[in-house]
Amino acid sequence: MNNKILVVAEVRDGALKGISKEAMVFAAAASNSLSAEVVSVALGADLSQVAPALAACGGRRSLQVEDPGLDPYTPEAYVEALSQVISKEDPAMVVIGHSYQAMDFFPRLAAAHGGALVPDVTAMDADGAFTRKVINGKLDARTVPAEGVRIFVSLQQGAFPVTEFSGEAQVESCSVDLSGVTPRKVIEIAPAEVGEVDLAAAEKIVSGGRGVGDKDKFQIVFDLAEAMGAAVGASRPPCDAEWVEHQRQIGSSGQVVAPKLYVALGISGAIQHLVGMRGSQCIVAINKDPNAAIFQEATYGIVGDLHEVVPELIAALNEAKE
Amino acid sequence: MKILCCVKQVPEKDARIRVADSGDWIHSEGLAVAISECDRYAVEAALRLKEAVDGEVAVLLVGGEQGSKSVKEALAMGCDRAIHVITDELTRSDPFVISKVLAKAVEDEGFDLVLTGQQSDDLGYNAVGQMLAQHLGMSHAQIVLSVDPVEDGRIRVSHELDNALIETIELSLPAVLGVQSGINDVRYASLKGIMQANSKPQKKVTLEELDLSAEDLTPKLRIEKVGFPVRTSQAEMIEGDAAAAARTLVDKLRTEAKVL
Ligand SMILES: Cc1cc2nc3c(=O)[nH]c(=O)nc-3n(C[C@H](O)[C@H](O)[C@H](O)COP(=O)(O)OP(=O)(O)OC[C@H]3O[C@@H](n4cnc5c(N)ncnc54)[C@H](O)[C@@H]3O)c2cc1C
Ligand SMILES: Nc1ncnc2c1ncn2[C@@H]1O[C@H](COP(=O)(O)O)[C@@H](O)[C@H]1O
Repeated sequence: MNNKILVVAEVRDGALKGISKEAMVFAAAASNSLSAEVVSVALGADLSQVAPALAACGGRRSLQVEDPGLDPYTPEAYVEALSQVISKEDPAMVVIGHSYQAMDFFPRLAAAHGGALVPDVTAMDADGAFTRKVINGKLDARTVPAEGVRIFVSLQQGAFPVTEFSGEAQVESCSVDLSGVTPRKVIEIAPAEVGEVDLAAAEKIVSGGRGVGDKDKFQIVFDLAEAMGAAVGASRPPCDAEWVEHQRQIGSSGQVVAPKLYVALGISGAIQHLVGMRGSQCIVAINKDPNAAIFQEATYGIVGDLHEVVPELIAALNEAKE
Repeated sequence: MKILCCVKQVPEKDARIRVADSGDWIHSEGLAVAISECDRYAVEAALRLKEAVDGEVAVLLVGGEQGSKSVKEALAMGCDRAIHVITDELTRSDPFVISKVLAKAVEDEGFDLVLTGQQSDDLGYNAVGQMLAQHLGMSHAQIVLSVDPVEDGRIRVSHELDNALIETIELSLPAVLGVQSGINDVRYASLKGIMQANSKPQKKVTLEELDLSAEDLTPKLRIEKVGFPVRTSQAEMIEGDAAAAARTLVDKLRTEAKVL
C-alpha cells in the first residue's frame, strides 16, 4: 500500500457536493499527521464543469473518471470503477462523505477489498483512531482499524467544516473499463412529496420528537407553537407513525430550516435531524436525558419531562402577553 | 419467493445505558433488549411480500442465547422458521466479520430476497447488508422505502437518495435490501402467533459449527473505548422546577436572544 489518501468526490448537477469539500478538508488535515499524499477522484459521464472546482480543492492530483456508464449513479458501476482506481493507486486510506449515496455503495467497495470500514466518523485522533457514534447516537466509540489493512472511512456531515480552500491539484483523466458491469434499471428519480407545509419560511418552529409520546400527546407541540406564533415541525419518528403529516419532517430526508427560533421537544439530536435545523439562530431543547446530543447544539436547554415543562411554558408566554 | 430477514437484538430505545467496567462496551446485565427498530419494518415488509406472492420467510439472528427472545418474537409475528447463530463474541465486532457470518449461515439456502434493517440501533454501521450482498454476489439497495414484485424474478424498489430524492429501480433477484424505518405499520404478534411460534423450526448453530476461516473472523476494527460525549457546546442549561425554568426561559428568549 502507498502512503496515499484517496478522496472520493461526489458530483451532483455539475457541482461538487458540499460534503465532498468536507472530505477534502479532512484529508488535508489527515495528510499532515500521516504525511500522506492526497489524491481526489471524481466519477461521472462529463466532468468538464467540475474539473476546476476539484483542482481547487487541494490534494496533489485530481483524477477524473469519465464514462457514460457512471451517470446515472449505480452502485455496480461505482464499485467497479473505484475498484480499478484503488488497484492502480493502492492508497492506504479511502475517504468519502457519509452521504446517502455513499451509504449505498461504499460498504460494498470496502468489502470487495477486504478493507476496514469506519463509517460515519466524527473525529480522527493523531494516533489514527476514529470516533463514531454507537447505541443510537448516545455514546462515542473510539474505534481502531487493524494494522496493515486498507481503511475506508466515511465522514459524518458537518463534522469537518469547510474552512478556506487553496489548492491546485494536477488534473488527470483516468480511464476505467466498465464492460463487465450489468447495472440495474433506473426507472425514475423524483423529489419526495413536499406538499403544503413550507417550513422554510417560518421565523419560529416548535418541533416534536418521539419523546412526545403518541399522537394525542402531540397536541402539546401545536399548543406551544400557537402560544409562540410558531409553525410545527417534527423529527422523523412522529411523521413515520403518522402523528403529524410527513411534510413536517425536518432533517436530511425532509426540510432544511433555519428559523430565528427552533424549539426541540423530546428530540434526541440524531445527525439526520441536526443537519435540517442546525442553522437556526436560537435553539431551545427540552429533553429528559441530560446526555442527549441535542444539548450540544442548543442555545438554551432544560432537562426535564416536556409534559411538565411545556404547560408551564405556555402559561408563562400567555402571562407575558397580558 | 424465499425470503430471509436478518434481525438483530439491541438495547431497547429507552434502556438506561451504562458503560461497562471494561470501558469498551456497555453494561449488558439486566439491560432491556428489543429487535432493532429498522429490522421490525424489514420483518413486516417480508411478511407482506410473502402474503402477496407466496413463499416463506426465514429469520436469521446472530447473537447470544438471550437472542432467542427476539427470534421467537419474529416467529410469532409470522415468520416461518428461524436460524440462530449463537455467539457472544460479535457484539462489538466490525461489519465485515458480522456480514461474513451471515453469509456463511445462508450460503447454501438459495434465498431470492434478503431483507436487513438499514442501520442497527447499537453498532449502527449502516453496512452489514451491503457487505452481505457483496459476499453473496447479489445486487443491493439501501434506505429502501418500498418493494414490489414484478414479472421474471425482478422486483421494483424505491429508496432514498441525497437531497430528499427518491429513486425507483428494478433489480433482478436474488437481492439484498436495507429497509428504512417507518415504511409500514408493523403488526403485533397475535395470540395465535405466539402459540404457534414454539412449534416452528428453529435451527441453532454455534459460531464454531459454521466453520468460518480465521481470516473471515479476524476483525478489521476494534472498539477500544466508549463513553458519553463530552459536552462541548455553549448551551446555557436552565435549572429549577418546571415553572421556574419555564419563566426563566421565556424571559431569556425575550430579553437576551430577542427572538420572541
Ligand atoms: C437515512 C436516514 C435518514 C433519516 N432522515 C431523518 C430526517 O430527515 N429527520 C429526522 O428527524 N430523522 C431522520 N432519521 C432518523 C434519525 O436517525 C433518528 O432516528 C431520529 O431523528 C430520532 O428522532 P427523535 O429524536 O424524535 O427520537 P429518539 O432518538 O428516540 O429520541 C427521543 C428523545 O426524547 C426524549 N424523551 C422521551 N420522553 C421524554 C419526555 N417525557 N420529556 C422530554 N424528553 C423525552 C428522550 O430522552 C430522547 O432523547 C434518518 C435516519 C436515516 C438512517
Ligand atoms: N448480529 C446480527 N444478526 C442479524 N442481523 C444483523 C446482525 N447485525 C446486523 N444485522 C443486520 O444488518 C443491519 C444493519 O446493521 P449495521 O450495519 O450494524 O447498521 C441490521 O439492521 C440487521 O438487519
